[in-house]
Amino acid sequence: MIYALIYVNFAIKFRVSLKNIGLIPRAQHYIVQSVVDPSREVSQMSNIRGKAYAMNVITPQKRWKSIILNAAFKLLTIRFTQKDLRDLSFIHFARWTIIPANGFPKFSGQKNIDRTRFDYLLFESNFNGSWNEYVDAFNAALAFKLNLVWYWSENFPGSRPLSPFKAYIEHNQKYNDYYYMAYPGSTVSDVKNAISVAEEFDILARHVDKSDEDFDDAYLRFLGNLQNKIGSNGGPGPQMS
Amino acid sequence: MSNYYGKFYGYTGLFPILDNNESHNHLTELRSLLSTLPDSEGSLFSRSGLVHGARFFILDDVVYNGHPTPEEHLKNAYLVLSMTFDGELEQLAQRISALGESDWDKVMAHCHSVSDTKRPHEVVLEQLRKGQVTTSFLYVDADKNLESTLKSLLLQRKVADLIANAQGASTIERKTLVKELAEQIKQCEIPTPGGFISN
Repeated sequence: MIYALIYVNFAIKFRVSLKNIGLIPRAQHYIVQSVVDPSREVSQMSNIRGKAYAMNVITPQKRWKSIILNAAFKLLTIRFTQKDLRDLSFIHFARWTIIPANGFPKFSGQKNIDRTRFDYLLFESNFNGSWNEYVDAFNAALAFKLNLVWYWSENFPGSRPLSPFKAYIEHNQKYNDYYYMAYPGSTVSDVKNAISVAEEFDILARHVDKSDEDFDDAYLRFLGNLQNKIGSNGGPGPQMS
Repeated sequence: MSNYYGKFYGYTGLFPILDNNESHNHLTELRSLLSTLPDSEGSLFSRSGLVHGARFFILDDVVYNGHPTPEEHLKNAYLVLSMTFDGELEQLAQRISALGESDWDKVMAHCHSVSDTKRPHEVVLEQLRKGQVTTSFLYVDADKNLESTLKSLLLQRKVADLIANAQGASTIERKTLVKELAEQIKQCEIPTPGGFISN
């Protein structure tokens, strides 16, 4: 499995190189111009709530490739493979959902049922920072995993170089019409710090009935452990795009 | 199951939007409704007390990525709902039904829905289940449920105040400050989800 993943990564890099020198023709990117919907101006702002940005990307992939992608996702459920994601520390939640070609929900009363030629990979993410910062950071730190997930999507240009990758994501992005965040003024780091503070305070509170010496030691440890975790947060944060 | 990450549940649902008729352009009306639906304290998802994050977006069609991929289009437009919350779907459906039914009904009035011969929370649950697509991979960078998270965020700013006030204080005075804060935190209300917590 590991060798297969290394092969995939090499295949993408090599294929991208051949495109760059013209041996493989680039896909003709077809930009669909939507009819301007007056409410869309408001909708685009609904990608942001406080310090959180919500992104949705939907890409087509051939049905047989979903089997391989599902296997890759199984591998990614192993926690140690997520270390680099955790280290980035700006993604509240992220998910990938494969909508099978015959898997669009069906309700009674529907005149037409969707059965598509392709499966669709729906990616949804809540993160802190701007769209550009997010894509840049992913590209810099997780290029291999990006390739592993999106290699199977049609006409994916590879995660490097950056510009075609950004164009691909932007082209396939769907904007939110509504976005709710339970703690919009707090980033992922703010939340982690707050939880640390709560845990440390609990420990300190248990020393209140002990001797003054014990309490003083506990208080010093409390200060030392929290010195970079009590910055203020909770407000709307800087303007993002 | 991939819908879960630890104790968090990641829900994705697609609800086909009703076809337009002479009196209603459901797609436009739904977009308009969503753009004005409250999204802060006291909103639909805020009242549930379980939802960390939620979004609605309209999938009016799939995106064409160019040659050599063949072009295809959806026959229906879909309202996509994505949520990350604590607990199970049944519990969330009960909360939505009990505390947010009118907003939920307004949104779902523009979509194909299930039979409403059952009790309200069973209708909400069946609607959620029928529209659900199983998540392939969910990642959540959090450990605590919503209540604990909000309480921790509130405590964080109070601890900062405590440390400031405790500077130069004696051990007994510090003990008193810590006792008072511990008591205060036990009694205080948890911040309402969805709002900005200001100083």
